[in-house]
Amino acid sequence: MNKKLVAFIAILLCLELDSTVFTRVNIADIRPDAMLAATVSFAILEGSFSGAVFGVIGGLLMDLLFGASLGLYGALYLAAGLAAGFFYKKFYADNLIVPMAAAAAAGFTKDLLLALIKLIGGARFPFAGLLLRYALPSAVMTALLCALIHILFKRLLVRQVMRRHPGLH
Amino acid sequence: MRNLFNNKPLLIAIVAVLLLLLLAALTSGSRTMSFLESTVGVVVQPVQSFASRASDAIISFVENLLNTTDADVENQKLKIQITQLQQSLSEMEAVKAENERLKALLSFTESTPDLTYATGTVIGRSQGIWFDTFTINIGRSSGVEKNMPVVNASGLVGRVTEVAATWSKVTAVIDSSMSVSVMVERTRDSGMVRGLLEAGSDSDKLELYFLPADSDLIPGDRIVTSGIGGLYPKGILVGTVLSVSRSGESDRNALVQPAVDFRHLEELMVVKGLESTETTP
Repeated sequence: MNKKLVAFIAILLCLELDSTVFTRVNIADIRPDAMLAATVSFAILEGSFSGAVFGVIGGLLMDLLFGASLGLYGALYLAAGLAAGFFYKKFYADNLIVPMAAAAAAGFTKDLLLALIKLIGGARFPFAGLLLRYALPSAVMTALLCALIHILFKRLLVRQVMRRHPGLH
Repeated sequence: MRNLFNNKPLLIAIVAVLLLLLLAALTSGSRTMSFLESTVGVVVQPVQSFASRASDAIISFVENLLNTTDADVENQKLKIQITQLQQSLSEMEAVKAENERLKALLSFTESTPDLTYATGTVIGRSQGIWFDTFTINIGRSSGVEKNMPVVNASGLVGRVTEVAATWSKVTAVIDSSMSVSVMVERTRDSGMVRGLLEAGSDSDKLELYFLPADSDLIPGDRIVTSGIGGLYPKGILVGTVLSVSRSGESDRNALVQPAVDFRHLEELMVVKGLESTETTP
């Protein structure tokens, strides 16, 4: 399936998942970040540039429709796509540990940065406690979701992945 | 370091991240939505509305399905029939619930005849716990303006922070950046509530500050808007006192349970006709 079409549909689906589904279906208000999970998976399969473009488009749309400021999520997801692209061609595409670990790390770093931004903005909250109670479980959920998304992406982008990983069956 | 400067794509990406962060910093305060942002939202909004309704219907259907444990699983015909009936029931319950919510909204508007309202529906919420903003399906074309208060039949929801032609962004009163001037309904003591940034059971709560030192506050007291500042109409229910902090133990005076259930927010109303909402920061 065409890479751009897959990316476009994935961005729209992740937008809906994050803004409507996970706001209602969650565990004690702890939710995964579908857009981040998809950005990381896409970057690992398609490289830093594609991951960064995926991330920045998804992030800017989230900023535009639901965000408090324009560019914040765009920057975070762009950086996540860029960083996750480091693993491009370094592991087999069917390795799920790498995308899961990368998504967890990206999720935790994103929440850490957002917490710092809120702290600098003057909000008073239990910083370490919130990272433990929210950021860590949310990162784990994002990692699990990333595994599912990675399997889907691999199937949809199979031709392009096979072209780059000829030994893969 | 030389390798870093030779890697043009990486440099471009880093510059892009920095530019986006700069843009975020510049747009984090009070601002007007650009034509491009408004247009993108207008294009995406119908899809968003449809997806929001579809996900509501699917969640409701699955909930009904999971609640059914007595169905005869061996009889395929009955199973199909049950599923169909459940779907109809789910649709009827959704219509009934919507009807009740709209009735409550109508009753609320009738109790405040001096105010005018524009009714809208929530079509999406921000990701994560750090920001409590959501998008509604009414905008400038329905008379919505920036800083207009948003309520539902239960009480105060928040404030319009960005307006496009057919949609708007609302910052909920539980967002940690929001402060609302309030008073205790029973004692008439004035104070301020602001959103509490927490996860789990204490998320969606408010903190009450700046009450007079001799304030006689007890759990169960109702907190209403004071009308000071002119941003919110006086007397709208904000929440109920859950627990009171004794002086010296904590900066805050009380923990407040918001009147509005922010986890199940659907229809709401933008209060129109208050003076100079557009110019208020």
